[in-house]
Amino acid sequence: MGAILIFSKMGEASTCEVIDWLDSYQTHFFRINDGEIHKLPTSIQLGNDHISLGLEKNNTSINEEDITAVWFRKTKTQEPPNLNGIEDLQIKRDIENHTLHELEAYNFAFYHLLEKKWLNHPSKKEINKPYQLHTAQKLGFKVPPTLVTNDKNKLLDFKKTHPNLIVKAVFRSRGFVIDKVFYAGFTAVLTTEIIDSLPSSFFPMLVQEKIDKEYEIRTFYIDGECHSMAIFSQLDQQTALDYRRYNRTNPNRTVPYSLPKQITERIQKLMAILELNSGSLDFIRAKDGNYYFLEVNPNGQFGMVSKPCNYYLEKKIAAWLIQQK
Amino acid sequence: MLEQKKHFQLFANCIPVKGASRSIICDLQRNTYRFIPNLLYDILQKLQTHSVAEVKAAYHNEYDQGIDQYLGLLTKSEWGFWTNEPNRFPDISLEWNHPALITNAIIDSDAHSTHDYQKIQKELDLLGCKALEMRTYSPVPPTQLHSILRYFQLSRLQHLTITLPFSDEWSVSEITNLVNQFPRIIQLIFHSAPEDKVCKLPIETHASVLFIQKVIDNKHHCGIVHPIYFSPNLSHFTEAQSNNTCLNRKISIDEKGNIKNCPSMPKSYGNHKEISLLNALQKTSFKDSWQINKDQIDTCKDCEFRYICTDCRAYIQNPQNIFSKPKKCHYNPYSAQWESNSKENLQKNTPPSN
Repeated sequence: MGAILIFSKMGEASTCEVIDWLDSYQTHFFRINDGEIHKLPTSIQLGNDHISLGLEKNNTSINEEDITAVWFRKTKTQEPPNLNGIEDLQIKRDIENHTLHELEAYNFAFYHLLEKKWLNHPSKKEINKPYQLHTAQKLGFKVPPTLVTNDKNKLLDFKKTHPNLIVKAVFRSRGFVIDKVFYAGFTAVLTTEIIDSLPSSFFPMLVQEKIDKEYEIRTFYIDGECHSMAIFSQLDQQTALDYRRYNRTNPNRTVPYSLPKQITERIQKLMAILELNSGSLDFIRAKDGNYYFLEVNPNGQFGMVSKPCNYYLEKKIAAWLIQQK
Repeated sequence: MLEQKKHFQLFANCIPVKGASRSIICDLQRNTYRFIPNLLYDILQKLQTHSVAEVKAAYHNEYDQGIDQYLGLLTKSEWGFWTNEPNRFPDISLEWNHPALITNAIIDSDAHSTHDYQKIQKELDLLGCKALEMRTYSPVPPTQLHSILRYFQLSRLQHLTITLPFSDEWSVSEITNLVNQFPRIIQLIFHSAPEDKVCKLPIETHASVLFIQKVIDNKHHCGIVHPIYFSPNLSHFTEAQSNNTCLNRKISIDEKGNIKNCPSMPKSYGNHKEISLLNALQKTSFKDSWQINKDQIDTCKDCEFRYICTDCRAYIQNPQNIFSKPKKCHYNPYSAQWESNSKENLQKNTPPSN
């Protein structure tokens, strides 16, 4: 009996929708939430000429040979075991680090030994942003002039040729919960006042020239196909710099978009080089007419493209998973 | 100075619908609609394939000022935009699909009902049902409702709407306790209440709680068509293209346990004590009304609201003709008038359900 293995987060809505479609095609699935392989009864036994790999959950189990495809939607950062008994902070931190690495390695043992068709293997879940930009540029994409630095002199030099700058995270914008309030990380304007206030050497940042946008484009890519949406973020001051600063009462217009053939072909090449069979890509359609590549997120949300454009991507993902045999 | 753009397009999720005497543009993203004259509808249709200058010329430049004014208004209010690349902005697909055999269900009950809620929950899950409406015509104390809802706590249901008679046992703290325990509840309506009011709860919740004075003691209160029940959203609009906006993928159990498409319809497909929901659903004719869409219904097919209103096939003007207009719709698309007596009735007697 074949089944599809799914790694996701508890309550993740898009995962539930894909599962509804799998269910409608009477396809079996096995879902593991929040990187909890180590919390389930699990084992890998390495034999002389075979590997036995078993997972159990809620009185059902799945064997390696039953799995036809694996969908890695997303996972949660590992949490260290409870070390409340240890008082020495240094020892506690060392043990925490050690256990986190061990848990990650335990999870990755399953990821690596499941030699199946993956919808994005977790080893590809983090692709360095400067490397993405560099790779995209080599393929002919326009990318915003970019500087990654911790050096004030380099920053000041860059500003001479690119007076309008924005700053964002080198890796990814994440948020923080402070006093129960969630503060999300966004792209911001790097003003002269901020630059002046910086010491000669500072925490690393990614700086880009601010591109004048006509609109933004979010593309969901799956196995060669591009499903794109234009985001009219420029009609609203709040979303002009970063559309993720959603205006909930008057949301940005989001409509289906058809990319030029040349851009689609470049995306296909880029994804092949990055060894991704799915992902969410962000572009700016600039006032100068160019398409600027911003980044690709291997496990990006697709519901935010699927729903407004009526694309039924959840159904397409289910169909893709079923086709892999 | 930027180059003047030649094409005007409505955003793909702003879709014009033409009626007999006026049109509307349905904003399926911001969930609203606005009226436009039929002449503007025709102009917007032509603008899909022609530049603004070409369309103006097609009307011998007689309407230039009016066209400029309207397009200016639509641009300002973000219903449309200007572009030189209309081909980059395709129409939105109007396909509708859903993985579940049943998307929504109604369970009616009164003092004599003997429903097996555990069996109902299991069978609705098997069908993939997402939304359930429970309507009770006789009082249900909090403890009883809790024990019914507990069956649905680990179900695939996402939305739960409950209509029940008001009684003194339902204090604000009891209501708060209920919506806290069962976060699937999105609407709770107490009928036969001392006054019409929105009940504010002392917690943050997405559930809306309403008190209404009207007495809802049987299923015949359903079937009203009125702007307050309009659903200008993408899923309703697309489903309406080729399906019935009330009956498609719906299953119901009436207070006596009879399985029907809708409780108000006469045909029963067996009693839930004897037959499963799935087996009832598989009987011939169960789905007969599912694909009756507004383009096939008398009068409705000429109405500008036809893809955002909710149809009714249980109460129709001519019971001999399944394609006749809903009896409880008092809109005349030919005169663009709502009949006045119905309006007043409605404000007093707002029914809870669609």
